[in-house]
Amino acid sequence: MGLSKLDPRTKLAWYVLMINFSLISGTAVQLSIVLLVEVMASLILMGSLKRYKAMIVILLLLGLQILVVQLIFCREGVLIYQWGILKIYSQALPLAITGILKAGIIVLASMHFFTSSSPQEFTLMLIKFKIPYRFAMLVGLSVRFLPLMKAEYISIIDSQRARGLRMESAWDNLKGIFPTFLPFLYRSVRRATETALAMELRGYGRTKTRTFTSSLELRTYDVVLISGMLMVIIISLTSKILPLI
Amino acid sequence: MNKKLFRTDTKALVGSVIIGIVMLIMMQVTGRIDAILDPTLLLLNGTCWAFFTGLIVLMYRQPAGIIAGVVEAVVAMATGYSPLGFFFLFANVIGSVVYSLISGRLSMDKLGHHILAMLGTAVSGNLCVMVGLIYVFHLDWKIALLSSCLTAFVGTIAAGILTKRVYGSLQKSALL
Amino acid sequence: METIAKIKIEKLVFPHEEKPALKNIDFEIVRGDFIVITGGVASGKSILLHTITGAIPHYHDADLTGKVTIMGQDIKNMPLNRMSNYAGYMMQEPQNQIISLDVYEDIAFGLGNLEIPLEQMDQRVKTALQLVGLKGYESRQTAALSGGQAQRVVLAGVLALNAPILILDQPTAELDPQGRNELYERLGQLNKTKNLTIVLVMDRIEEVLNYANRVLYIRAGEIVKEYLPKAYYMEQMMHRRGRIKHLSSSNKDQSRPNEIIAKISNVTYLYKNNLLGCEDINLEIYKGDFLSVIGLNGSGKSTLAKLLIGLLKPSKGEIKVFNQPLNKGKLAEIRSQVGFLFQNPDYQIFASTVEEEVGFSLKLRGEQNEVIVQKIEESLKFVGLLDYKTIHPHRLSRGQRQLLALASILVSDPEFIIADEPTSGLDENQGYMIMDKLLHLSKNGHTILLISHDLTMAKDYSNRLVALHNHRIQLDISRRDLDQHLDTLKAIGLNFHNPISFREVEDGSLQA
Repeated sequence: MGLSKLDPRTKLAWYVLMINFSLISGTAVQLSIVLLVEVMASLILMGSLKRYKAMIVILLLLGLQILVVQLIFCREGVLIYQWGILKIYSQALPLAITGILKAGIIVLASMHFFTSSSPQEFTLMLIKFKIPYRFAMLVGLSVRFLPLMKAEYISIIDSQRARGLRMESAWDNLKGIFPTFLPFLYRSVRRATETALAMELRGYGRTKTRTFTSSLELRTYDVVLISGMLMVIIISLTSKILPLI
Repeated sequence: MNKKLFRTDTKALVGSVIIGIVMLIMMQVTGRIDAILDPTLLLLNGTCWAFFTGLIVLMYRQPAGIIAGVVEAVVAMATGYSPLGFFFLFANVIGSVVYSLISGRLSMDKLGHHILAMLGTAVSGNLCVMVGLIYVFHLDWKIALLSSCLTAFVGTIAAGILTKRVYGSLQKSALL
Repeated sequence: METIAKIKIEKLVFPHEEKPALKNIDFEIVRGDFIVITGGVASGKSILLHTITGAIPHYHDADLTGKVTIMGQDIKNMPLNRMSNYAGYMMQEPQNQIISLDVYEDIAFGLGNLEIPLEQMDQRVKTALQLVGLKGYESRQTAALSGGQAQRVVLAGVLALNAPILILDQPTAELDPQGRNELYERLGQLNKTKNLTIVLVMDRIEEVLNYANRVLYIRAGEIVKEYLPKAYYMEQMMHRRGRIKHLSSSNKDQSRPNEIIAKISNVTYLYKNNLLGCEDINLEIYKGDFLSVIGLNGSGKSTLAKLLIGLLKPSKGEIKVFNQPLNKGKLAEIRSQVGFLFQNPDYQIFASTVEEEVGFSLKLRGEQNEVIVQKIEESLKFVGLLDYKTIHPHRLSRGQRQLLALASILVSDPEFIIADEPTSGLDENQGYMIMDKLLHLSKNGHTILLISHDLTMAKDYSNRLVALHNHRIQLDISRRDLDQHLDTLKAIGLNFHNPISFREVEDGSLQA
């Protein structure tokens, strides 16, 4: 069964479950198991990890950054190395590893959730959560306009370069922010005004409800999955909170 | 409903999405420059965040500010623009609400008003980031505090001045 | 004859402005009318449309003295989201009006808002698609549509609402001649067969006048004359003939001097995904040339222009401008002598005043203040925007913003000007105004390279034509020799015989 057949609410429950695990699990082993489960779920439901390539690169870079910061600033554990003012403590590496595992779980779960449903499904899910349709339908709008606006920003940069603006080094790029950002902002405000006018003149917001071309219905397996995951969340939270009381 | 705080017309709703996308793209642009100029401090990125959080509230009020913040964070995650979007979700929403609460009580005619509103936004937003740094990345709280204070300080001054100028220019353009 | 709308506007004033944007407007619209509104740059045409749709005063803040009624309803008292019972509105840029990711959803958008039941919705979406000639496009992604198709999808979305009046603001200004024809043909049919009332701000005269029954001419916010389409067409043709006579005396072939401004040798450009941009291009541009590069959309025209200014780097071959190769070290120097006019002026505008905008490139070059001030004045005077120098550029109309972009280029006094579809998005009068300015510059010794799909303008203004087809140069001829190559050009989709003229309609041959 493909991930796309599940109701978005089931995917939301899975998302909450993973975030919950990433925040309450304390050890690297626990976190590794959760991450492994996530990766397995991705493989089973999507067949490959190809679409996560960029994410993995970014996570590795982030991991490196966390490691460097921990090596320099961590003061937990025992001192294992000193060179001038630089002191490395024994807890630096374990802390960096659990940090990156936590971030990895959250990021992967977010990607699962936000890329596995269509904008229309998200809109319908929000409607089920009693969000007015004038707000819920903005999901589709953002997916529609992102590629258009990205292409437009590139055209604006070209346009200013042709006018003599240098965009070669990072310093040039910094100086070039305003001449490229401001036309982009003005254009976008114009676009927002026109789009909103076009929408209103086609009856947007005339009544409190509207007809959608498709609908969401929870199937039996969705109900079973959601109940199961909610149970796990409740049990794990209770077991964490109870000892504190 | 308080008109200085809320606006739910279609122009504001659509505007929030579109300016949210502008914010997302500009966050990526400034992030890339930061990666070369100041890879650990991310001052430009922090300023860009604070600037947009304020500007969107001035342009379209609430809930537009919150919507734009959510659009920025969620679209960043969904499209792989910035997989770390989750960590900014709370900062975006809280920063925006704080800006509304402060700017709604001020005339916003003076630079001081803009700096004050921005101070609230930068402090609250960076507080969220600080909690993330400590809780998720296990960073020492003193280091997290120092880094957040620095970003908040630069963001307050730079973004405060910028929102005043850019918002003034937008008003002059009669596009709003 | 049933009066469907009454527009009586004594005065319409925008905030912070003294001069009214509209005044003394008084006309009625009869069911079945096909009204064309025309006028010069910033005459108030689009503003008039906005008052009929209710966008003014509901959406744009303005002080309106007067009354606009549609089917007996005062628009002042009607929320915008109820207007679809009376009027549908389509603007210039289709991409801003498409809300959904696929065609079906987009056309169903308005119907969903009106809570039309699903079965009925399905029927209306299909009928609307059929009316605009896009049957079978239901599941197409809106992002993959061509400009003409996208505009027809917008039209279908508006038509699906079954409003008795259709209001259009320069609906084909961004389309190529083929897209323009297709759209106007559909509108003409709807007007005739469905008795749909149409009011539109005109972009190109030939096509639309074939279907109109009234032409309103607006100047400085006032309707100064109402024409019958034929009378207006005649007047315009006389005007145009005079213009062509004047042009033909000025765009004589240059006695090709040896000085070469730019030389493209064996250039091929491949985009990142290995898509061909242009192939084996060899072209020499001479000083004083007014050269038009023509071709269908996607033939490689814009790629060629971007290569010439170093925005793209050839995958193969070499480009020299002012006898210097386009490499990193020389690029800034070369660009300071080349002006590039883009299709959309809004891609450049970022300053808070018109004069600041014009002075930007001089500031980049570190010119002295007095020189900057003087050059700004000169260029603004040349394009006729001197009176506007302290206002925000976005307060100008679209045509004026294109003139501002031209001024921003002229201020650096470039020897070579590349204009990429500079009249796109403008109506005919505004387009000619830009072209006249370019011609004036050409006569003063500037070299002009025009990228255009507007064959009439290319023919009327240039001394040399280069036709691109499938990314290659198909023809490089002197304007004088055009008549000998008409068939070759027609074979690559460039038909210099006007596809439809007003007279053909009069003769009845078009209907046949």
